[in-house]
Amino acid sequence: MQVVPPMRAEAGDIALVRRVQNGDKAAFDALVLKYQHKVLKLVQRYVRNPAEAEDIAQEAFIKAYRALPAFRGESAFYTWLYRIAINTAKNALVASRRRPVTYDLDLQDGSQVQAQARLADAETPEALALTDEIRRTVNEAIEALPDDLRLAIVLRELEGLSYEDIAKTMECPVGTVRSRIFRAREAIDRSLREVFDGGLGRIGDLE
Amino acid sequence: MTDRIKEQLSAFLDGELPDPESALLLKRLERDDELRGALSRYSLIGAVLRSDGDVPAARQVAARVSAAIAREPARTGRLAWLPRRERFTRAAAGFAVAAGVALGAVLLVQRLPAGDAVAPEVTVARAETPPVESVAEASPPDVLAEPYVTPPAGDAPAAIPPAELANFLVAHYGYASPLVRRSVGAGLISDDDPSRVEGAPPGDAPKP
Repeated sequence: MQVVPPMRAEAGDIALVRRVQNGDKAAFDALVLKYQHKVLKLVQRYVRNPAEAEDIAQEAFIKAYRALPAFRGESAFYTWLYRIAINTAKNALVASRRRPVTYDLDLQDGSQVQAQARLADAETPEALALTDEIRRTVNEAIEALPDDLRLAIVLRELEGLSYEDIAKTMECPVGTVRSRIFRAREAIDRSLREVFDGGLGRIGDLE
Repeated sequence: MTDRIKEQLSAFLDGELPDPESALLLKRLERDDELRGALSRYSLIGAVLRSDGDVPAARQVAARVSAAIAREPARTGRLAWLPRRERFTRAAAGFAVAAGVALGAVLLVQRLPAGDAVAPEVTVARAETPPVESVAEASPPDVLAEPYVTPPAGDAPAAIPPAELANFLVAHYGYASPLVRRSVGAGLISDDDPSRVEGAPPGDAPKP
């Protein structure tokens, strides 16, 4: 299911972009925090190794920061950012294919060979397990929400409606919509924090 | 971190927080790691909900980008944002304009009555001016629409008279910068005495 991010969020992005263009680095931090997961997911379509994908995502954001003065807002910020991320990932792929194979490893040392193979491998079991757990946790938390909170967050995240449109749909004030969406997120986040805080150790034991 | 702040954060993520509150929240984000973590997780929730497949949790990206951006030089001015090569190009263009203005000023000064020091250069300049036919072939068509003016006969003047200056300009029009053309041409139109131009009908001043 491909969902287009809502117009209101685009306007928020443009406001942040203008701040960055006026020298506000914190505004760029906010854009990174907002889009890092999506950019990483996009990059992982090209480079499946998690560590390498994070490097490429980081590089893409830095490129975006440097190119931001040329961004005029004629397209959505995320579209522009995704294009940079895709190009960065493709370039990294080309570079890695050109990179000569090094034979610095001691081939007699089995542990070194195994470690190198894991680095070059696709997603590690740890990363796969974490990703899977995040998805399961979010979906379970959504199902456990009271109806009004679940409807508010679904209308927002899946349908892309503005707070005003959600208020009309749910026949309640905009302030109530804002509060419901926050409480929905907070409930899901509580479950998610358990995954990150306690669950990571458990996932680490999978090795 | 209070619920009120986190509710603001949630609205901020959706682009629904008013600008003044957004500005305050951004300042808080700079120094509050817990708030940054919440923003990251809220956006992860949205990404997971909207995604067909799995969404990887970015663990180090934001922190590393933030550190890298902090090392970048402050670039608040429009010119400062430009790449180094473009900044150099713009500076060179500015220098070229200044040089053009200076050349125009020199040419205008030469038209004024001056001392002996100017005279030899004037003579050389007049001698090297090509005849009208050859100039006509080399110049752009729009320049050729203007009549070539024959310099007045007689002793070598101490400074270039307007008619000779006009001839020089017509001959070199194609090579002069637009700024010089305008400034020198305007000077000729406003200052020239038509009666000093040989062959020109009364009241018909030379045009650059």
